[in-house]
Amino acid sequence: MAELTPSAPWQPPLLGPQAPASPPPRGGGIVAPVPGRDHPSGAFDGFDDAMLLAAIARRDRDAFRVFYQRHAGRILAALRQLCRDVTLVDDLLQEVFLTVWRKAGGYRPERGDAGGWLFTITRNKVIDARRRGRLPIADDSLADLAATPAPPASRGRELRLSLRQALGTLTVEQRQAVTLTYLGGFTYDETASRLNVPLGTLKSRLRRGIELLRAQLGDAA
Amino acid sequence: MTSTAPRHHPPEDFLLAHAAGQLDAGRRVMIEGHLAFCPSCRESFAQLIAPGRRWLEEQAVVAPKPSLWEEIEARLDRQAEEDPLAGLGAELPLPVAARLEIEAGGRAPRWRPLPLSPARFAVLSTDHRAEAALVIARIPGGRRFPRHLHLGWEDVLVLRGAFRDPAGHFQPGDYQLNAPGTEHEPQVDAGDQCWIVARYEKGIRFRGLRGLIQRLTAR
Repeated sequence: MAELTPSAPWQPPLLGPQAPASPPPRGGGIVAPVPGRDHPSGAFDGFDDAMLLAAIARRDRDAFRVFYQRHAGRILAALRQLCRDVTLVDDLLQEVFLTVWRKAGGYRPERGDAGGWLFTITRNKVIDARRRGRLPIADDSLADLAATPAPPASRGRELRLSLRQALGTLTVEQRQAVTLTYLGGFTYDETASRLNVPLGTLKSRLRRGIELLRAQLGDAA
Repeated sequence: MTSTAPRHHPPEDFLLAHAAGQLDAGRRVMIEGHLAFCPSCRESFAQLIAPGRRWLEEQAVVAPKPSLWEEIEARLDRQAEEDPLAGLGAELPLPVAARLEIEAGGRAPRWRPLPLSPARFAVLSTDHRAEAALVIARIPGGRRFPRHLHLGWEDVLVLRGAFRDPAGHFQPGDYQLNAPGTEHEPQVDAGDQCWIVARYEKGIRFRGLRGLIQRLTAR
């Protein structure tokens, strides 16, 4: 297939040094490491998330377990904040990590750290559950976050606002837009209907809300 | 491969919608593909998801049941990992993050000829709810993609090579958004074959003899 051969070989953009070579990681041909032989105890000490994800993309189950141990507890807590059904939350946690396994090869440190990537995977699982009717529209688990803001702390240079405190600095309308769509996984249409506002108004509130949160949380956000 | 940063970007609303989890599967592929090429949009997107990252970081750890990890491992053991796009060739120039967003289903994509044209295309996925299709296409250098009319919105991402149409010159990573009613005949630059991935709604209508063939074969 000469016509498929370009004059200069194409490289996937942003392919990092730890990332697998093409074709993308989908299994086939990748030799799984043997726990206890390839990875002695503590082999991943000092590995940051990007390094672990690169290893997961190479289908390293030990790296995956370490990544799970590092993040599952917080993801579980976040899911419980979005959903009161304990069984569903456990299902969603599994779905999050199966997606991490599947998509690890697509993660690139250049697009932000792994925390943001994990957030979108986690929140998108909640969206999927809502769309499939597994999570009730009327779920009120977001109410605490949306309606009872913590007062902003008096800030010195050494202090930074928590997200909950930063949410408290938004208007009620902005906070509702952020908590329902961005965190809670409701669609634009559902949220606009619930708040009885036009779609454009909802998007403006969401954009402004995120901009303000970003500013309140500082560069370390 | 050019090292030039993209000059044509998706609307900011698309990045916001992606950060808020509001995009359909086809447009997620398009935006992830653009992000893989575009440092400035990656920076914007990182800022949009930063509050979510903080929200996750600030959660108080809750210990999962030990059986959850065992179930995850058991599911990994059971599931087959097959690349649904393997039949399109190993050189498919689609960034990994975009490729992993493609929702497989139905028949495996295959290359098809476009009537009376050297262009080839493959349907990667269809979305009946959005009335949208996601396709990858390749057009030889120096040739035109046949004149056609868009019945709905079209998003185009250049993967390799370049083309020109009345909206401008589009190179790798560039994102073109065409409104319903747009009619064009993209001219590929001389030299490299041009690869694009495109999401279009409601279909496209070819002009002239190709249009006649299109209408006849659609019956």
